Amino acid sequence: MPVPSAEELTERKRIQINAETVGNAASTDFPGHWPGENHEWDLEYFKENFKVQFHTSSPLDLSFSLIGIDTSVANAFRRILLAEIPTLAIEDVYIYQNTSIIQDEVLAHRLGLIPLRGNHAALDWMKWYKKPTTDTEGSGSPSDYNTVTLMLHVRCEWQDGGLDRAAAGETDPDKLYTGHTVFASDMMWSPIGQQEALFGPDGGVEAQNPGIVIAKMRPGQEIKLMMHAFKGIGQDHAKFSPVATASYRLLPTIDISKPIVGPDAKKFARCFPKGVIALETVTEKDAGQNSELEGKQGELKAVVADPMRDTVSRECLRHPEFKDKVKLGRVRDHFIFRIESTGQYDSDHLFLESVKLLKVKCARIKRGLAQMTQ
Amino acid sequence: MSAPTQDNSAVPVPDEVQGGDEEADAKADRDRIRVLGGATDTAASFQFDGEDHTLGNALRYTIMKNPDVEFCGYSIPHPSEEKMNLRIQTYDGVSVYTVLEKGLDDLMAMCDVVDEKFKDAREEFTQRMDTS
Amino acid sequence: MIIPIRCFSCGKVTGDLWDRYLSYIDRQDMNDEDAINALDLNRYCCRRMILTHVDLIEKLLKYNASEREQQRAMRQK
Repeated sequence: MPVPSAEELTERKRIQINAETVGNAASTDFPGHWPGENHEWDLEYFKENFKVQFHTSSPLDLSFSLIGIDTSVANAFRRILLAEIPTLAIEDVYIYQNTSIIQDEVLAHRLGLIPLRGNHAALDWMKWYKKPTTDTEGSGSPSDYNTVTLMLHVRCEWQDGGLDRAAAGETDPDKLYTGHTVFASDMMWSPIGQQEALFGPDGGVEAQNPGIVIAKMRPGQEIKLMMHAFKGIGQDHAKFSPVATASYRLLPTIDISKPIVGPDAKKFARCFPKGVIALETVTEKDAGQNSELEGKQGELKAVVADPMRDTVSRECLRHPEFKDKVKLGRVRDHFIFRIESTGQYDSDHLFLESVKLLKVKCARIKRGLAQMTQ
Repeated sequence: MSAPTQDNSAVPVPDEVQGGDEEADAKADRDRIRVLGGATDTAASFQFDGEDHTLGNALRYTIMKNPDVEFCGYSIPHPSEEKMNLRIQTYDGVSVYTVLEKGLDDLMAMCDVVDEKFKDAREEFTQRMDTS
Repeated sequence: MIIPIRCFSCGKVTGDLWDRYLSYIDRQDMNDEDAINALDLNRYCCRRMILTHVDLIEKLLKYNASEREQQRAMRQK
């Protein structure tokens, strides 16, 4: 059985980025594609070749690489991160009083977008709330296991002597009124049933960002409302998405096939973001090894320092002096992920959750298949 | 073919996403997959309810990795219907059902490896950060 | 009108950044670029949320009953 050489394998994984076109974009590692080669799924082979590299890690912003995995699976993780990991968000708002200048529907929409934080085990314990419909029994009944209730009551008043200060020309609202800005931290969690025991020890359910401005008011205006928060997924509404962005890009490659020397080297480096191309002095040894560098000792030549920072702008392909000297590309199975959480969960936890969810999806189909074929 | 071909109303995805296996509801799972008309033992189209490109493309990949498979492809017939069709054709009288099941098993095994390797890399990274 | 809770495009929370942005610009004399960088807004979708926001609510708040009270108090002086 023919085994392709290492160069051949690298070449197959390389997506070509040309001035106007993209080449070799589809993966070909399937049985029957390359005559005589075996590309059957092999778990041991996958285990050996699959790698994870961490780049930067902070609780809410994570960057890592998945190397040696197919696009379809990497994309499945990304899609699950965006649209299928459940979180808590305000869905129903019961407005008792709203005399502020923010309209009821706008206010309710703003409240829905506030990310809510709570004990993770308690959130897992929560079940889905079923919207009230006429044909499903038991739908539309909020209960402690599917609804978190929050209250908001803020009234704006003049401070003591505020009116006099205003008449005297003071304009700073902090010195004139109380309750003039409604913050997300003004929302009060009101536990029902078992929620006190489950969420309570972790400080209950509260806004992840307490400083969010919900509304602004002036004396005499009042907002009084009750909110029902449910568990939901990003597919239904983006407010349920646990990430601000979850994205990947492929690792860029830059191949300098013929040396770029002298002033051209500087120009070449300027075609890329800072740090991608470094300038090195041509040594005697270099000149001896490469006939094209002969007599160029002491001049600067362009070398690739850090292709990961490249944005693949293709700027270098616009200049005739670099024609046939450089080849741009991307590695098809090197995914540089970046997951930026909105705060309910840590980013690394979210990725593990997406892997788990893909597995759960498969298990579900498998059970359905077993039921169907038996 | 014993599988019914009538259109079952889509089961909303959220109802079973949570909780993993302990929430398994075999009856609801039964409604998630059906065989479309005209199927034989070596060539069949399956319809998945409440699935999309997320599972469709990943499953297509693992099934295509199987040398017994002549063809595998998926499509989403209409963007506003939560349905995904998966077509499998096999060589040499291999049953499409075993092929589909193997595809699901392979994908689950892959998830386990990703999970494990991710945790290892995270561990190694935090140690490196702590020492430096 | 009032600062949006989240970035329209990516969903990053921007609802708590406007006051900080103003304080950077007014009290710490930063320029716009430094201020939005200090707010950790890296993508241009989130940057425009702050950079192009016009806080009209401050003007609309003028149209209310208490403003009339204030006018009356000023006349009495």
